[in-house]
Amino acid sequence: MRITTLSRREFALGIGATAALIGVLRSTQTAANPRGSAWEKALEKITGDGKPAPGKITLTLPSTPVTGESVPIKVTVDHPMVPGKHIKAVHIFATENPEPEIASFSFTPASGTADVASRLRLDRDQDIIAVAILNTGESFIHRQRVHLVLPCCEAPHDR
Amino acid sequence: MIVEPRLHIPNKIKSGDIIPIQAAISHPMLMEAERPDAKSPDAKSPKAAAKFIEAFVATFEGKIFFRTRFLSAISANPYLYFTLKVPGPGTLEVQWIENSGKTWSLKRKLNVE
Repeated sequence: MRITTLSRREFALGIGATAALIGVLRSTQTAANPRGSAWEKALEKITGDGKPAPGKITLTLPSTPVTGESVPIKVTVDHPMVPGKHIKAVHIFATENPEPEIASFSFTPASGTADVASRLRLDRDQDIIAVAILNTGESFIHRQRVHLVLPCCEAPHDR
Repeated sequence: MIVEPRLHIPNKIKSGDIIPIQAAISHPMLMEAERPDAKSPDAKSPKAAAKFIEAFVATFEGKIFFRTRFLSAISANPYLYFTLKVPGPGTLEVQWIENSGKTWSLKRKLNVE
């Protein structure tokens, strides 16, 4: 009688394939639900019907910060800051945060620029999104992925 | 908890300069209430209430030129960098506002050449 046993190698291959499959399933899950997500609803409240265009914004973030405890973020907006032609506000969103809206900044021509920097606490890999609102109501958007080497913080929410 | 606000601006400023301003305050930024312990008798009340800086306002000569609302996921000891186009000599004032209503502020006369 032949006994079927898995060699160590076969077993390892099986595990690897399963892990890969889970990885693929996860990534499609996140990619499949970009519409109507919490951050988009929050953005809609700010921009109304207007659809933000790409451009004007530079987002400086480490692409792979070691921990999510304190991730530096800097937003620069390439636009004049004079009366009648200036950036009114910049809003920051995090796509996988339970509360998608992280901060909003208001500027005036007296600010000189609409550049701003702060530090974020991120507990998982996600996209950071910056939206700039002009005094005319026009808006611009930019997004950047952040991968954490070590996720931060004792999770206050169940994953 | 000792809350210490700090402000950093350039020493020498010329009229018309756009100057970088750095403001920070030591604060734990508990942006959500700590979850109650399910086993404790008062399982519904949170262990600690949310306590965080919810707003920041910067004025020059009494006029607001920059404002922030912190809504979530801001690190402890919140740090801000922003700019001011200095129209001439005057006083810069910044204020941090906690969700409890408590405030801290700092004033600095700009050394304009």
